[in-house]
Amino acid sequence: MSGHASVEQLSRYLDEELAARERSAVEVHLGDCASCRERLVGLRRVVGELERLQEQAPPRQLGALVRRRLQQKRPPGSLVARLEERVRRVPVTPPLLPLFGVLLALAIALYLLALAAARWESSGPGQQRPAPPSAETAPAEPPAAGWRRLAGRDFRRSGDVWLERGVGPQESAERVEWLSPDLAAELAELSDLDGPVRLRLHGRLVEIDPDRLAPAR
Amino acid sequence: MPSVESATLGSEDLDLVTRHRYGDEQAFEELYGRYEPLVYNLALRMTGDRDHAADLAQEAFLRIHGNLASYRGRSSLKTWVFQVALNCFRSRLRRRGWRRRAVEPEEPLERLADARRDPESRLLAKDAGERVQAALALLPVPFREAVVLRDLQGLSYREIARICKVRIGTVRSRLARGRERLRQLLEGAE
Repeated sequence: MSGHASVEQLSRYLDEELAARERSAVEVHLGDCASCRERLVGLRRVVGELERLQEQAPPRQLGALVRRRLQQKRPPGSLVARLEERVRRVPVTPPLLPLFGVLLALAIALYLLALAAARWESSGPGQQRPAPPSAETAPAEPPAAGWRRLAGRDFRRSGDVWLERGVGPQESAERVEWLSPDLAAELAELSDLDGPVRLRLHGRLVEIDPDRLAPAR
Repeated sequence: MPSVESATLGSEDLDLVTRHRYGDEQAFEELYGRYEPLVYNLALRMTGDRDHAADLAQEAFLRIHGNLASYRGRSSLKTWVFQVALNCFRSRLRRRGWRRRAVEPEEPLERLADARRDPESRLLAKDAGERVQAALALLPVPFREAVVLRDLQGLSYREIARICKVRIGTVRSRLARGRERLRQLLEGAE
């Protein structure tokens, strides 16, 4: 071993993370070098002091605060998910069931009527009927295996980056280091993705690193 | 030191997650009971402040509750929980007003050595634990994360790499540099 042992070698030596050969070389060097021995003792003392830091008990009211905030929080997800959650929480007693059925039938009828009216409007006289959806224009399926849905968008990993649905791996993206607070809040969920993310923002294809986005000053 | 990953990547954790997915409120209660001290202490060591730590732990558990259904079991639940908590911490660092108190690591070493300068420094000289905590708070965040996860939470290099989303080589380097800086800080304060 030439020269002194590096701090990284000494630190890994303490953790028994060195391979046998490197470990032997460090041990031989430590036998000859008072300066490295002294440094190792210092590092060992630091680790010892850290390990002696006692675990602190959380404040007693912490659990109650978390529960209260969970109750206040709106159920996550889409409007449909929130409505489902509300409906699920409404106690439905037997006498209410027929009424609920009638209301549901009415809601479905209204929805179908609205749908028919919208179609009639869009395909009125002189207007061309929209082409039937092709495989490319069909609405996006719910995320399949390998896709993650965050901030209302679908992403899949391609190499080291995450690509939004519709973004090709070869497309060049503009790297963005700063987002407005509103946009940063809207995309906050992306911090669950490990690595850079390419997505379309206001018509531009951009690449962001969710963990490194600078806050608005 | 036992690997936390191997200890916790069990069916119990996956069972908790499955129950939570199916709307069993008790599942989150059990998870909370199991991870509350760990998350609070991680937050405390990262922030160096009890109020901030309680606040951060609350936010972490809200996020855990909201995202638990998406946990796929690729890493241990503990690793995932720590990852969420540290993401909350980093998000908070980006907000104004929190940064100054929770971190500003690049302070001169003499600050620790000079016990007369402010009350915080006086505390350092009084109690070994306070001294170590104060020195920890002076580490740059990436070094602090590595040191806290390894030396206080007992995670393996691989688990730390997964939580911090870096290579193992980076973990080795950050841990070594963090420990070395702590050594200088603590020796300078004596």
